[in-house]
Amino acid sequence: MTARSAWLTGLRTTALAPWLLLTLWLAGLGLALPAAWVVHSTLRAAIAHTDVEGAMLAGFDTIWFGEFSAEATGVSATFDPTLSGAGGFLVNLESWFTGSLFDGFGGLIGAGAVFALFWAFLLGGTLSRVAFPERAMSASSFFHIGGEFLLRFIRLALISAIPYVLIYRLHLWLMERAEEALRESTTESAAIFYTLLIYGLTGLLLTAVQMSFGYAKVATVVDDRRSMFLAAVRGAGFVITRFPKVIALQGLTLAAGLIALLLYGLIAPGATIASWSGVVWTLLLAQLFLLAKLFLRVSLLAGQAALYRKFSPVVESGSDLTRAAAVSGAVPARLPTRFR
Amino acid sequence: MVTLSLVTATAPPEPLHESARNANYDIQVRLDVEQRMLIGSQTLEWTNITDRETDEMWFHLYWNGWRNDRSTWMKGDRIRDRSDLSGDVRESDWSWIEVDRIEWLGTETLDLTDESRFATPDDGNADDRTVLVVSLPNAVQPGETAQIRMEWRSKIPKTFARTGARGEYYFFAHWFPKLGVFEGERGWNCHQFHSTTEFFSDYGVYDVTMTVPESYELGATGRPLETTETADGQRSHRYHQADVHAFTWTTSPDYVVLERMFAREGLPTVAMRLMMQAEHLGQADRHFAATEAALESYGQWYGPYPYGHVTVVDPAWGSGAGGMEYPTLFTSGTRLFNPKGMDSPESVTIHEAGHQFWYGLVGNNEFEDAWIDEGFNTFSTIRTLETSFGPKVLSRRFVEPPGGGRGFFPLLFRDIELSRWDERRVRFRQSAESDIPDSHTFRYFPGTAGNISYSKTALWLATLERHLGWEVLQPILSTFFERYRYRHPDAADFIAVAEEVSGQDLSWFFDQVHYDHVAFDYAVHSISSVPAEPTGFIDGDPEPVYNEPEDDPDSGRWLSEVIVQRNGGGVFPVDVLLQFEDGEERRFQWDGSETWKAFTVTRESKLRRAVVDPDRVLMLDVNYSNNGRSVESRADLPAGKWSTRWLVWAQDLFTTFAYFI
Repeated sequence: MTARSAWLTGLRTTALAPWLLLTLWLAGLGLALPAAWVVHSTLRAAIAHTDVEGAMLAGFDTIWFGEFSAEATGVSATFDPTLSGAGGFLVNLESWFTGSLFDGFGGLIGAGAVFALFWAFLLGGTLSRVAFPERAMSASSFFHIGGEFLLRFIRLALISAIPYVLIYRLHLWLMERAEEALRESTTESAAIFYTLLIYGLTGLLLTAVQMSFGYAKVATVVDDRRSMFLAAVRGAGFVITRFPKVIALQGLTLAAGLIALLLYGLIAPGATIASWSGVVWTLLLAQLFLLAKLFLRVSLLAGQAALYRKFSPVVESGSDLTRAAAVSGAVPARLPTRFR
Repeated sequence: MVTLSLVTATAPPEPLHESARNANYDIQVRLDVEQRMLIGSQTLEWTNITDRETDEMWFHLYWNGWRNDRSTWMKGDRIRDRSDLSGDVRESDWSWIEVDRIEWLGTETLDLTDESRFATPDDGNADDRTVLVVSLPNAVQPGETAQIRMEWRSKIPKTFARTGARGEYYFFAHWFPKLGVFEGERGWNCHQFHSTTEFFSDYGVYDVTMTVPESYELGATGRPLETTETADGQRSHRYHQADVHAFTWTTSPDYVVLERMFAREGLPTVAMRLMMQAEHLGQADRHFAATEAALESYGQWYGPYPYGHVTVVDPAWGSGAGGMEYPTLFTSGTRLFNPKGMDSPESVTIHEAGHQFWYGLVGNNEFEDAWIDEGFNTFSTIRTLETSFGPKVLSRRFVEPPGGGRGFFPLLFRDIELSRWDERRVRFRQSAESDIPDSHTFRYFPGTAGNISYSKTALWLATLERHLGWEVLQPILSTFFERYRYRHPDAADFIAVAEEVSGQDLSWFFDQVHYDHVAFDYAVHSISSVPAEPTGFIDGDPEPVYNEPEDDPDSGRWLSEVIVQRNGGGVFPVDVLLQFEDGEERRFQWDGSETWKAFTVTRESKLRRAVVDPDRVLMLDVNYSNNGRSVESRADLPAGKWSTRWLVWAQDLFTTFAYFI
């Protein structure tokens, strides 16, 4: 199996499970909506009956924003016009690179953690669905599997926190070294070069960890692993042994994501939208982009599962009789202990 | 170094007015790049142009401000919560200036080296060594000229406040022992070096010879007179400039020099010399265009630029230089990625070029009245930008450089235009009541000097423009410029000119904006529109009858009432505009002195909106959001528009969090 065929398999598998995407999308939307309502109410109260209404409708009122942001608290304090359109996605992407995700958006960390937990809950069923697309899966078994794997994935996440923390510390350390190296530099291009090098390295390391733990999750579900440490080792081992295919699959997904972001950036309506139909259209377009991102993310999982099943010893031995498969209706079976 | 083009400059026009030329310097200085030292000697010829004698001479030794962390400059920096001392500060970063020998050149040469002491007139800080007082053997009588010769050495700092070295880039401002200003009865005006203010000196003639490595390009105040090669691979550059109050220079092997001529009908030609960093060459035209815009606008509004030449320096990245003004030379500053619409490098270039007028030619005491040069120049910068360049748009920069700062890569939101005046108002509002502008600038409440000097002054000038009209303000400014060119005006001088030219008593205005620190804030407190017919019992025969009018906007008459409020202590006459649903408008004038006032109108249409100061005359209003009020709210749509955008970002943020699971 090539990376391309794994990628296509992932896309196909994901396309055949629209309810899965909808569930994940609705989870995010459901969590963000109450917070957005708070922001909406705060904005509404702040501008109601004033001339700012008109300015905010026609574009944006920056002087009002200066007054507003000085007083805003909680989630409303995160409101910023530069978060609209592609800006918001770039802000999140930069936060991912630098680790500022955890200290930059105070009021939203709690909600983000809840979403991450919910994501972990859905991941078991999702992986089971995309790893075994040939098997039918009921809604109840989907959530049942999610419950089965939730604690394992939380344990896995705790293990993965170690490399993530180390990478962010390394990023910080490298930036400090770069500052020192650039002490006498007189060109911004040199600073950009060093910085992009560090960002590139950070991105590669983060991706490597993400890939390793991605395959660890796949292994956990496919092999019904209970030891998350061994699953992590297995994931890292798989990435190392199948590196070209693994990295190519990741690259294809990343490229598709960047193209989607570029397209969205080009067609996302600007700030001059001044009608409800325009607002709805803008929102729909953004949701389509979010769905596309989600689609790519799930298809990556599916592609990873396809690769893993193809090249892992368990699958090669013909045994797809995992716990997940069992829950989803397959014949129960046990894996050799050495694989757990 | 690559010289891309060379334009032969025409002979400079004679200055329109000569200055007093009472502080004239002849300086020789050598740059030692190995030791990062300046070794210099200077002969100062000073004429006492006051009616009092003096037996002292006071000198600024600016670079001792960065001698250690106990200096007044450093203390001020700390109080302002600035970052000059944060991070990795090393021994080589600090600087000092030592005067090794002082000689009195009279009928006989006397050694005054031991006749000097440090003074701390501003704060008594015993650790500060930025003011040197030399006791003279004889008093200098009014009209007499004294000559002093000095030998000195300076250790070049890592760039502090734009001055110093980074790599092979050197920028030297306030680099030599510089005489203060003798003010007669008030004595010597020679303040210590503060982190918020820098200069005040008499005008004079500077003849300076700078010796640097042969491969280095050099730019300086004035015009080059001669260049001499030395045997040890060095090159001496002699520059000369009359009628300026400082001398600044820069040198580096990396400069790319471009030259172009500014020529506009009715204005003197100016040879523009642009010293660019190679990586910014693509922005050279924008630098020239901005400089030309300033020379043209300021020249037409206030008076011609008389020197015939100007040098624009694009400082090295990381040098902390940014934009700064010096006589006939200024630093601009840009970034590698600076698409049009961000106001950079245009804004900073216009501003610093504009300082040639407000600072260079009108030489107010920047230690005490920085609001004159910074405020007048900020006002003029915005006017020039609005006149000559397109709108500024919202942007956000991504990917911070090592050590922090604004990101490398900008994303522009081209459909969100920014008002340059509003940007100033946002800054001013933070310090609206923090201090009285008439205080000495270096004594302003920590962190507010910029907001008061730049923003508040620019905003009250913009208010005056809207209140009096440009046709009145422009002559006020040009008269002030003409009258105080090569002189040192203060607040009273400007107010006198403003009242003289406008023919109005403006004390009510300046008492508030300059001699007080009141905030201006007018608001529409409440707005209502109800049927004009009363609800309840009205006159009847034989007894009162109950009346309940219909709430129908298409019939009957409406009683509309608006209450406007003065929230701040500042008083300013404002208009109050009432807009009705049938499109009609009623405008009222209010002197703004009461704390509130009700405006009532009865007419056949319901009131839609009321706004106080509808033409935004009072640019100092700290809160414009409360200036207008509508009967009906339409807030749902804009709130919905922006909260749905936030929603999308939050959804994506959550999935980014989930990345780690």
